[in-house]
Amino acid sequence: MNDREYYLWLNEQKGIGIRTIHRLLEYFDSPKAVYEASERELNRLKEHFQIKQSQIATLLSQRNPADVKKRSAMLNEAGISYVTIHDAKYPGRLKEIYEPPLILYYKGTLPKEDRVSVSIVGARNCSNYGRVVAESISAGLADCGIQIISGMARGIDTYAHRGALRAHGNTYAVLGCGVDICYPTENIGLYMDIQKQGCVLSEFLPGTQGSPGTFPMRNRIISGLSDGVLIIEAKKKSGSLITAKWALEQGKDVFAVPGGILGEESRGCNNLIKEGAMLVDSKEDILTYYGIADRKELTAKKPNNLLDSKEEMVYSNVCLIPRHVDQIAKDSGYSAVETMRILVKLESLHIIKRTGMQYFSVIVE
Amino acid sequence: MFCKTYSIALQGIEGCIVNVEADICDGLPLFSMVGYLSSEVKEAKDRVRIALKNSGYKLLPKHITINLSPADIRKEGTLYDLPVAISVLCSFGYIPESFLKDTILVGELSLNGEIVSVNGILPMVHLAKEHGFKRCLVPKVNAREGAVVEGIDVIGVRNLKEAADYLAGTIEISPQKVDVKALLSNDWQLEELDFADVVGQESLKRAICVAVAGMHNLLMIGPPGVGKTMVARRIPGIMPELSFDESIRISKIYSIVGQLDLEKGLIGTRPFRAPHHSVTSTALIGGGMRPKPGEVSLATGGVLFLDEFPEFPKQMIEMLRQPLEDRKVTLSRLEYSCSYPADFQLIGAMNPCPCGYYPDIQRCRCTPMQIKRYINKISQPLLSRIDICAEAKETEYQDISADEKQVSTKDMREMVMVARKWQTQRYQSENITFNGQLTPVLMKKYCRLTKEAKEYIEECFQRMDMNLRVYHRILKVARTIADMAQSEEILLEHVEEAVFYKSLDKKYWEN
Repeated sequence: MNDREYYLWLNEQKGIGIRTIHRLLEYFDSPKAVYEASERELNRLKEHFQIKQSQIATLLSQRNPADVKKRSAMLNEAGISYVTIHDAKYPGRLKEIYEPPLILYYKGTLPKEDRVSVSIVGARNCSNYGRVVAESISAGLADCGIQIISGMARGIDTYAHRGALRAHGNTYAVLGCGVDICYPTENIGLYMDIQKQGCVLSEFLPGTQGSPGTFPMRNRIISGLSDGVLIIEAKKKSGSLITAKWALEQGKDVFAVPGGILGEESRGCNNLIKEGAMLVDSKEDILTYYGIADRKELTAKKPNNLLDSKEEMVYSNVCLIPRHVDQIAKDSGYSAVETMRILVKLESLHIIKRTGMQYFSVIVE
Repeated sequence: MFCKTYSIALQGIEGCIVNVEADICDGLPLFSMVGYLSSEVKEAKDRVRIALKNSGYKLLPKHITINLSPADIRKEGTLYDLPVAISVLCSFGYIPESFLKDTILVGELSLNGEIVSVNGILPMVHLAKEHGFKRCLVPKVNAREGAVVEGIDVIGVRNLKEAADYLAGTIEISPQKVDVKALLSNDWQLEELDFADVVGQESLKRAICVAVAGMHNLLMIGPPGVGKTMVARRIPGIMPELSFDESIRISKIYSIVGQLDLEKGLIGTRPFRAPHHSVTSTALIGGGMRPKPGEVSLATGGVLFLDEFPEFPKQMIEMLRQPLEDRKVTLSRLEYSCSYPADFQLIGAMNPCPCGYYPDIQRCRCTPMQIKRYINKISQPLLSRIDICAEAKETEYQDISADEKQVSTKDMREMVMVARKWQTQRYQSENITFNGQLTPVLMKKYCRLTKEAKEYIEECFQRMDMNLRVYHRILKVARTIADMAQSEEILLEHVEEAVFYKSLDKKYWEN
């Protein structure tokens, strides 16, 4: 067995959590030493390191190299890569957190060390406001080369990933279940796309179903992988605030997008700002903070090929905020029927999109 | 002595002639009725006996037997009181038999001998005419309703005495007359809901014109309070004027449920039915032990408006599929089945999301999941039968204050008429009347596209990942738009506009 396989062996023992593993590794230098430790040696640790008898029994009985080899081959076959804390490829930022995962399972490519990473998290039940903000800030940051990290949950997480993908940036999803499981299932498209422009990763063994305990745990990895955490739309008692708490403990920056004070949607964010988190109302705030030059202004996608004068006129009356066809018709001075036809044409050129049935907005790049 | 009169048994809007036979012979005094009668018909014997007495006729104590034939059809309703009473009088010799053989008798008796109104007079008179009868004796209050049928005398009678005297030839009652033409045109002028009252909404009005012109089902989406209902109420007004035949067809259905205005006697305006979403399936489709027409039939020739579309229970909406396809409803019961027309224009209205303000970021507080759940309430198969989707926008103050001339009902009806004329000519040899009914086979025959239009639709097909169903819907609508522009071929601009209306697609809410 090679070194990596010893790690895999230690990581995959049932009933032995990350805390116990770290305790064991404190005493033995490497997983290999654990593998080879005698019963007497392990028993001696019991008192001092609070290791249970059942865990020792597992460690002693599960020493079959063939099993480990088989497991490794299985992962390989499923297209799942893994990186151990001992490997050079292991994310440096993550090494520094308290009790980092021994092994990260992933599909895709891991975040690059030399690039700034920002995680964007927030409410699952987000409002339209949150959605628009998450998508546009994420797209803006990703466009300037920042790696976007999130949890692929419903709501803000989903839109953060989507924004980054749309800007052809890199994005990474830290899952609260096994890396081979797509949860929530409706995000299957996103799950596949992220693997092409980043990776989905998880500390949990492939095949692990998400449970109420696993999601808060992965939050520490989300913050751990990033330089700063941006919170959008967190209620007073939101799970995203756990991520913010982890970020503070790990010494990361905390950013928050403010929300209205009348609704409950952003109370948590506003509280964070009160407590000293940095207020973010545009991507520039974060870019300036990390000293990254804004590569280019967000420009509306527009083909340099020929729009005729009428199309130009109609196009100039479509903006980022969805507008109804009647409004567009009125401002451009054409009849409703004519405007409809032109809009359909512009839509087919993929420079504007429908939001709702007859509301149109421009597509930004 | 034996005697026979004639009445009618209705099954739906069709029916058959019923012979009401009376025989009097010596024996113990008895009044018995046979002929597969429902209980309300059996009760007629008491009403008839007392009504005869109170009208001043003395009946000798004889054995009276009444038979209603054909005996294998169930007789229901209270309309047989009058024919039974008259046949009894005839067999006692009060009335000569000669007059009765060309006469249909219909009416309920009250104990004092007065004749009370019954439902379904219009289809009955129509049936009587078809069977070659010369006159109908009906309750006075229902006389106008029956009088619209030409070629048969409709005589309104107030009480039994009057009816008997008329039939005996001792008094004259002139047939009820109704000026149908005046009645119809009068109603059209009375129409007070005008589209000119709807401010702004130019694109919505256009979509409605197209929908009505080709009988395409329409779904309106818009925030609360923008006037979706107001618009819907005005839609019957832009449909072509009711012809006499259509009016009769609609009035027959209303006659059966007793909702006909007895003063007018005819439905002169196109119906607008807006059942609430708590409607039961029987009320919507029709039914009951004696099948009664439902909302879909009552909306025949007009508009069936379903407000708050997603709130209708799914199975209710599913039930609309068959009437939308066949343009009629067939209700089957053990003993018989009857069909009612269900030839309506379906107009649905809904909010874009539970709070109603999507995509207004400032106001919409719905989460994407909520919106998704809301939209998912609409059944996909029904959605695929909706050709045109129009979104109403909120009216701004400028729209109200601007002194622009609004498109009026008259303008819109003209547009509709042009397209309808073209369709009538085109589909003379087919068994459809509107573009909305085009099948894929017929589309091949009648929807000729220019080269540019063809290329464009091909491009759309690939770019917008359409499916075949969406393609057909776009083609149908484009045909109507071309008809409105009086163009034999479908041009590029017609297809472009049709693509604009393409129906609700679930993924729009995810953009």
